[in-house]
Amino acid sequence: MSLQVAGVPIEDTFAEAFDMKATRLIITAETIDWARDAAAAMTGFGTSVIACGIEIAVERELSPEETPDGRPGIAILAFTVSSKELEKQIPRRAGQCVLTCPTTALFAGIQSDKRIALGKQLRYFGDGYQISKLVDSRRYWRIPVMDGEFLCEQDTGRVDAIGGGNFLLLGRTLTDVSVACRAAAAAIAPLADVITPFPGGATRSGSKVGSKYSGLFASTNQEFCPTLRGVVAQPFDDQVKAILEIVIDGMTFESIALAMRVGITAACESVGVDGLVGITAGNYGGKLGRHHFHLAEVMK
Amino acid sequence: MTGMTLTLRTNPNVHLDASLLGGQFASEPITEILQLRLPVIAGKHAMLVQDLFNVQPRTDDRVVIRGDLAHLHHIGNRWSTGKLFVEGNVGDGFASRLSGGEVHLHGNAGNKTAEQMRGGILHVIGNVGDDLGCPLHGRRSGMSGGTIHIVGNAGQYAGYRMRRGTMMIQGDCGPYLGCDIVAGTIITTGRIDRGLAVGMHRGTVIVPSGTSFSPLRFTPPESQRLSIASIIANDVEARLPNVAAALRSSISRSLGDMTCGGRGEIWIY
Repeated sequence: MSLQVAGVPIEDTFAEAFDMKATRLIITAETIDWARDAAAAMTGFGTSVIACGIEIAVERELSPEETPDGRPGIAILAFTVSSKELEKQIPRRAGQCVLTCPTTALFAGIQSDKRIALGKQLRYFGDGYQISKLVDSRRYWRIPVMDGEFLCEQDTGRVDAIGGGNFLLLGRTLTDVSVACRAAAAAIAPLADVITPFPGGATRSGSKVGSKYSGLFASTNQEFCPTLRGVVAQPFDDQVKAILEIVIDGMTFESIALAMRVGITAACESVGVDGLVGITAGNYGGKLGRHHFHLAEVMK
Repeated sequence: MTGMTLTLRTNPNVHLDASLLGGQFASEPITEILQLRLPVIAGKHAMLVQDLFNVQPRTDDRVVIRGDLAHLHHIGNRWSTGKLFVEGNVGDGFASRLSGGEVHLHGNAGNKTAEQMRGGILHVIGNVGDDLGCPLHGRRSGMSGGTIHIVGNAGQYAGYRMRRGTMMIQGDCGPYLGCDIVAGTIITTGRIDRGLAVGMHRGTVIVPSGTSFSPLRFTPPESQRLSIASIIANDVEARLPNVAAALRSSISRSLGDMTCGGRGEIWIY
């Protein structure tokens, strides 16, 4: 008998994920609202490396006891396909989205020998009035701004990570799959070391590599579009009326596997077999990414 | 490094340059340490360590020097690794050029303690003389790294030309604290004599409320809440919990020294 969760069949397949470069940032502010605003701006337009260049989202909210300056904060995880892209994206977003947001400060959320510049670049905004402070071997930059000082750590660590862990929810109706999807995203949200960068944690535009149009390196995956049933061959039966995909980026293989298990379980238990026809995962035959998350193993 | 205890047996009536009781001397065999010659300052002869100290090995890796060492200068010179504990008063230049490891003194120190310090930790339970953390003769910069914690008073010109690191003085300070400071952080809890931070270029001097400084050289204090204050509070929490608590609330801040175009700051808690 095939694997089932709450009666929902789990297909014997695997999610294919890729090596990425990642960092963690901590934004603090006078109130959690300002921190959320800065985080929302910084993580905007960061759903997919395909066109955004970065996959970036809130990892979790931090209590004042968890932050370097004792104020409420938010941890952000960012993933790119290359360190060069991370070095381009992070200072740019920090400068336009955190430096600009009232009362905020920006800190490194991970330590590593490999570094991504933060205050090292942003300090020049201080036009000579910036102050450097070396505390406990970590350098901070204090940049005078209109509400006081913007405090920014010199740089943050960069580590190797994994992007593209995923599972697909095959729904009997759009409403059912939407409910299941929300349940999965909510279950994954509190987990450390992972993010679901798409809106609400899910995407409806699962893509394949390439296109009939030159210049496009990704396009809709017609095999997973229920409205094209009968036009193109599809790997599921006509009970499936809508599909949503949860995409997970994580710092480690284990953290993504845990997020997949928690998400799949929550999705299946939320609507059961009456709402979901099954759970599957996206892969490219194992040829593109070296990290394979076999659903049967993940759900053990 | 092998631990050992050097106990002063004979109090020398002359002033000795004890620089050799520093660096990595403890990594040498005890037989060689006993043969070290400590030159008489402004004299022509030297005294052997074996004529001054009883040297005993220890089971741990600490190096302990005991006795009234006021005539021995530059103990702990160029200390760079391991832990040195000195019990008793010491002469001038104690822990000069300290660059790593830990040096602990239970007693008073003379002038020029931690001269040209570059790193490591110096902890003194006792008073220190003038020129704490000062530059070597002819050098431009003074203390350029590490942490100094004095539980006692400091003489004049503490932190002169300091460039980096943290200096905590849990006691009173003589005149010209933080004079010509270039960068780094000085924290005090006691009274401070005249000339606070005169010639300050950059850096931070944190003083208790009621401390006076020149209104001609520094801007009027303004109440501010700074995130960096919380970061510094975390750093000094273990040694100065009361100061850490004060830094986490609002502080008053003055900028200067305006007479030399300085952009340093005095925080009043």
